[in-house]
Amino acid sequence: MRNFLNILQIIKIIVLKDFVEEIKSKEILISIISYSTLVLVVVATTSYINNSIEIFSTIFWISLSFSVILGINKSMSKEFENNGLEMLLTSPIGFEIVIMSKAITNFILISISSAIILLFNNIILNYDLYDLEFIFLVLIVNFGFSIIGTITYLLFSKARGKEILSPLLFIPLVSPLLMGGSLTSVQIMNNNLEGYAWYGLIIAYDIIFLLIGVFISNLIFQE
Amino acid sequence: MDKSYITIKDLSKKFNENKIIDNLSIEIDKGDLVKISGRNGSGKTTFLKILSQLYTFDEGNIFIKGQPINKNSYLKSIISYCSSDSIFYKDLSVKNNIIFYFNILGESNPKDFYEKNNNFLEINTFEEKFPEELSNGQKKRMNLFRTLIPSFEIYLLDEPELGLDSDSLEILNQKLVKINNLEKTIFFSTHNLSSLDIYNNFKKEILL
Amino acid sequence: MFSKLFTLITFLVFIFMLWMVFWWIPIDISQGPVAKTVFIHVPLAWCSMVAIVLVAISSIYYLFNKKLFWDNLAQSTAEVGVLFGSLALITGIIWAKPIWGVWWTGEAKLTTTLILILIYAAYILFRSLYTNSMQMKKIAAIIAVIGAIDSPIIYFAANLWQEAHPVTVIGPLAREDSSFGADYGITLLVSVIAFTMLFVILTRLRLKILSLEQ
Repeated sequence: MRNFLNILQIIKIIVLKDFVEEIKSKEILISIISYSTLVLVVVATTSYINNSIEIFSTIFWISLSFSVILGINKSMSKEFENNGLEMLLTSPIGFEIVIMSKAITNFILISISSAIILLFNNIILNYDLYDLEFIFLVLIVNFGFSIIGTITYLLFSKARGKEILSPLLFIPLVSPLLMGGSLTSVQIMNNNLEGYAWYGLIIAYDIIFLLIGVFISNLIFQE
Repeated sequence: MDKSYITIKDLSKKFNENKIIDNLSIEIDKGDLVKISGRNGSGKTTFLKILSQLYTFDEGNIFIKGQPINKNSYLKSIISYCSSDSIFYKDLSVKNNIIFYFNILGESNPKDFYEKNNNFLEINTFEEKFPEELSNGQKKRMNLFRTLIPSFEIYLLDEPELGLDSDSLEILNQKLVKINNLEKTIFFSTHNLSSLDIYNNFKKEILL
Repeated sequence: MFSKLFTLITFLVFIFMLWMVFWWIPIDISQGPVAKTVFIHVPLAWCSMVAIVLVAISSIYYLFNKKLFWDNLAQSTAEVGVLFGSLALITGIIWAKPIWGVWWTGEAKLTTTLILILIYAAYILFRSLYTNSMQMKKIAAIIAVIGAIDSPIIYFAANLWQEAHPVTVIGPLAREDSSFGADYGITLLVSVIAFTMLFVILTRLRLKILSLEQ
């Protein structure tokens, strides 16, 4: 029990550190929100979409997933510039805790951005989607995004062309989350939610990748 | 199990099929001052990173206090690694960088601990600055403060004197003498033996 | 000696398969000549699935015993697997257009194949872009294992997705159920054997080249 509380304490310290950095730089939130806004601007200027449920869902998830790639890259690169990560790796904390802490930071930042992205989507696409079921859906998908994004960034962190490699692996790996997210969004908007199978799949997927992150942490960080 | 404090047996490490460290064996006693020498690219930093568990090794064994070094959080808690590069988070002030590190080390009151010691290397004169506003020497001092102030049992120092002015070198020398007198084991690598007096008192040498 | 014999046998099986496909099997009444694409599409898809399993097993072996052979085998099977998977996709699309009236249907197997090709393309690209070769091999092995673990989940999700999005196909044979006779079944089996043997040859060739390079 004491070990578990220690772990939570360490995670809290690392997450708080990330937030202090983000309050100063605001790089991650700005990059996620502005990129997804740009997607909306392109949609608004290239189509006559008005109040279409299917398109709302598609555009929301497209703008979120691509801007998440940018945000996670920004968030993780902060650990690598100036070797800040070495401070974590040489301290007496397990490598898996480093991964979990970064995933939690990314999750919180992505979720804050999602709220603003959702607001902008609702305005541009003329919809009012603030259902609790939808918010829960976004949160569990965001958790998947954050853990998978953290893992894919770390896998490619020392490779040339990591800006290409990371999304190239990220998008296929999150495809089940995107399928579930978009399909369930449409059902929620139609007030026709057909059970919770997709919620179960998404949560199971998140847990699988959390476990993968824990198992491969030593292999990723130690050369 | 070996009775030595640190036992290194047949240690080998490869990068890209090149053997950087080849069959290194040595026994280190508690409180030893160990000099690591070798030309550029001979593996001095690699060796220190292996001891700090940043790198794995391909062959051989390393035991510290009778425990294998592999994935060992306890050993990480007693080892301090001072890299030759400056390590910091650019969006945290010098003070917050150091307090953050003390926090994850498990220091019960990291802020107080910092405040009690912040005159070491005159960190208090630039503690509110952000690392990118600092000179290389100041960044080095921040790194040294972070890795030398907490109490560890083993210190791994990779060219600690690089970039320091003469006053700071004197302070660093005094600190290392104090640490060594407390029976702490120090490994150092340097290309400039005359930069710190303590360097001449090494007990063992690892030639790579 | 054995490899030359194997290559000869593969060549003969291929010739036999081509005879079966173009001369022995009659043209399907409902689907027309494009139905014969199945004798290329299905074996290619089968080989690409086998490749995923082999890449994962080789990668796991490499992670445990660090022998270069397993890493080379993983790389070889991944490259040949991506090639076969891409060709399976292309032949699937070629078949779909005249039969279903659409190039792409979002069908579970197609979607899964596309996603897996991307994962293994990332694997291959990563191998060429990462300079520290020992760390690269370790991470490449991790990517391969993640891809293999993920593939059944992606297929399951794609199936659920497909059920919720019934395929709107409008071609002349969209509503027809096709049923193959025994002759089609035998020909398909021979095709699968032929392409599997080709897969083995190509993988072995690539493995040999990698070993010589090292």
